[in-house]
Amino acid sequence: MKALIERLARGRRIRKDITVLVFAGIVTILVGCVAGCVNRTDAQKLADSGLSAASTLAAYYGTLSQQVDDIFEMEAFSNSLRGIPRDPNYEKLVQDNQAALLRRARLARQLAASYQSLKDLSSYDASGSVSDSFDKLGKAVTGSLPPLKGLGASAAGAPIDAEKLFSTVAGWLASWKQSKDLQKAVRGMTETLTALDKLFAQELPACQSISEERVLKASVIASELIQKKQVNAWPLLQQDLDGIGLKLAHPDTPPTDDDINKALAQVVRARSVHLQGLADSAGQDLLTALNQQLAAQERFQANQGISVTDIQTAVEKASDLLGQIENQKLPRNNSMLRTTSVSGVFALNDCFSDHPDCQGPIENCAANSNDHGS
Amino acid sequence: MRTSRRYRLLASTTLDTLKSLYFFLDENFEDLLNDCTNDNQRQQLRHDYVVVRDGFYQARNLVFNDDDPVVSTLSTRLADAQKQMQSMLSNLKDIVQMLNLVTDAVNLASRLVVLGAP
Repeated sequence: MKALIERLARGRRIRKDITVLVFAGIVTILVGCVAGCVNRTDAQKLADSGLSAASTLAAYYGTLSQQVDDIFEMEAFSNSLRGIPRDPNYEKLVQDNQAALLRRARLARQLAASYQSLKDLSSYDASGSVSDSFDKLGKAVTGSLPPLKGLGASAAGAPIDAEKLFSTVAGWLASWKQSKDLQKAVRGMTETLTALDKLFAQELPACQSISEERVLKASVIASELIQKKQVNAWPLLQQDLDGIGLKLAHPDTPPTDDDINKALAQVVRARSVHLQGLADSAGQDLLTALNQQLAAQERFQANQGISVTDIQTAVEKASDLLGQIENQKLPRNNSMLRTTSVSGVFALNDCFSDHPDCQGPIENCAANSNDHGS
Repeated sequence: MRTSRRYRLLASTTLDTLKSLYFFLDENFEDLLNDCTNDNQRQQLRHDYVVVRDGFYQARNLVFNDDDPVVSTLSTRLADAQKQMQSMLSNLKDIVQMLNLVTDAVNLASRLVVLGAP
């Protein structure tokens, strides 16, 4: 009887042990599953924010490249008025700047494509397209990167050797291709982004100077044409006057008073200061977004929770500023400052707001060609 | 988390100084040209503008060591020259003096550009 009781008790203990073991196993599996799912979700968030940041970076370089074109045309216009002959050396320097910017835009686009691949990878198993985009990024980062530096070495540490900087990235991408591992993919992306972030930060003053130069050139030309009475600058003030219920006596003809024209030229210059601020902020916000993306990726690698809200905010701010700068682009195939708008000389792409058909950019405005013909 | 890899906007003293000179000449070119009294002066101004503009474009592709004593000295002298030009421009009486000041500044800028590393 005693032996039977002991056997039963031992059996209960064993069952209890088994139950505990099974429960522990289930918990372990569940925790692992949840961790894996969280990991995958975070990777998707990272991929989304990285995609936005890289795409905006590409747009930023694209905008700068467009601005170099604008500068070149405005310089040709000014030089002609100033009696400065065409200069092949200057043209070569412009081309060099242009090539450097286009190369960086291409690199940023490839980075965006790789974030898209990371997103795919975090959604389902690695596919051929994933490897393919990393291959392209590898090629993009190992090619030669034309210079665009302009930065004091003391302020930023050693000057950047772009090729050396990206050579380690190519190694990461190659090893990731073999494993198709999410952590490794993020690690590879972090290496790439670190290099790009460093490059962007060091070159930002040189990049910002392009936007500033474009604003200055437009301001100088506008001021000159206003003073020569070649443009009607009244629209610069029209919005303000409308606001207090005043109407211009002769809104369709340039002011004849020299002092008024000088004052209107000052309005242009004041606006140029604002525009320079926009241009500088766009670059700075983008740098903030890249830094935050990098920090989020590092947290991911350390298995810490991530938030991408700040990154998205910074990217949206940079995109918005780029949009504002883009809207101030001078229209192509039109004589400079031919049209003026309620938003002023620098908003030449805007239509007259009081025209019923004009609510968007000038090229979308059907009435524009009739109302403001060349 | 390491902070050494976070990059912030770093002002480039040398590039900024060269940019200021170029922008100053571009912005005030017409006024200065109108004050010139003969073709030699006008030609001098045009020449100086082209030199400083091209120098600035070159500088965008160069790296400057702002800690270098020669770079630092030239940058400071160039910044001082610009202050003088700005001050003189507000009450311009002697265009010859102004143009000489501009030429000196442009020469300083050219010497700075030569010191940039590719």
